[in-house]
Amino acid sequence: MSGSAAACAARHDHYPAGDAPRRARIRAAVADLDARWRRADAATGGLGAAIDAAADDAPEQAVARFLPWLADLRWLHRRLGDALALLAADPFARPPLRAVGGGDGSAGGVILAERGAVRLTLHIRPASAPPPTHALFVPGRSAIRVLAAGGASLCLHEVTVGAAEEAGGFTAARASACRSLVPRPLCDGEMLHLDTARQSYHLDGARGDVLLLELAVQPAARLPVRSYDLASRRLAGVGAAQQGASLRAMTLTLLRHLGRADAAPLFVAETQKGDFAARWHAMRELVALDPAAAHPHLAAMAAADPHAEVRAAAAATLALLKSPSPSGEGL
Amino acid sequence: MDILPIDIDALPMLDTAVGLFGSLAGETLASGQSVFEIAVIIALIVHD
Repeated sequence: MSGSAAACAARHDHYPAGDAPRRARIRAAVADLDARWRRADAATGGLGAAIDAAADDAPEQAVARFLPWLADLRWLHRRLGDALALLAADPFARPPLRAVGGGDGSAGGVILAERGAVRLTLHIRPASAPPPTHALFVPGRSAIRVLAAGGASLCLHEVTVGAAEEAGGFTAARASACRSLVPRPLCDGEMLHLDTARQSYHLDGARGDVLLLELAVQPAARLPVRSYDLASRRLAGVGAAQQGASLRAMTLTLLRHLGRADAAPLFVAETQKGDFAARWHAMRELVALDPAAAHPHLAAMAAADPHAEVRAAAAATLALLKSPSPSGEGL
Repeated sequence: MDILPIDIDALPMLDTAVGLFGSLAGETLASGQSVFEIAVIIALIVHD
């Protein structure tokens, strides 16, 4: 048996599955720490209170509001001290922090605070982490404090985003290519400020683990999230930047599968929302659900939707509905 | 005026195919390594 396999087995072997009182003590200690952190966050001057106060801020204003939390790290040391004390009391306790990433030795971290569009994350990138293949551009802003540079080089990437794209007119065909700046050494303690709709980065050549404290403010946006292939610098994928619209799109698909023609007004309402992909998704579902109910709205969309691809898809679908069926039936 | 039902697969998609919210966030937000392991590693770095 290899060393790593033995370590893996040992950890599971020692979990106190049969020791109910100990597991109860672990649960109580974790719940107590979670409650203590929540009270501290909600108090005046706390992190949660600051996030609530920033709810209506523009992303750049919200980032500025949180810079003191990135500059003075005593609160983070206290929080990590609490987590370490929990682990020291029982190594099978899990601090009440949500882990992200980190699978297979890749970059990961823990979310220290998250509410609405604001997320504060402690990222760790092991020196052995594989280099990323894609750069992600997410509408919003971020500020990153470098806690441990690990000897890494910072490789910044940029894309151009026009005002029309930001307002909901993005198309893959006209998307800017990605440019990469000359890499430079990452420095301990430095602060990075990114317009994450237009700027992304990756780290290269680290000799040690890299630790970053990142504040990201990334509200729902009409501009999609875009992924670029770092080898070709070309756009590789596009994702919705609006969770609500995305969830409603899935719900409309479910209603269509259920044959709920009585829900047609919900589909129609969604065809008039701000997200171009969500508008067409709703219309496509409505046409499949109830083509007669969809027809007048489809005609209006073909004539006047603000997005060219949506107008083209609507016009093509109108033509499809008007074309005679093989039996001569149809519109 | 009757319009015949039409299969959704026959209807066009947008040229700019947009995935669902979070569909591109795997590299940064997927669950993976346990919080236990990450907390220990971070503690080691910070207290090094």
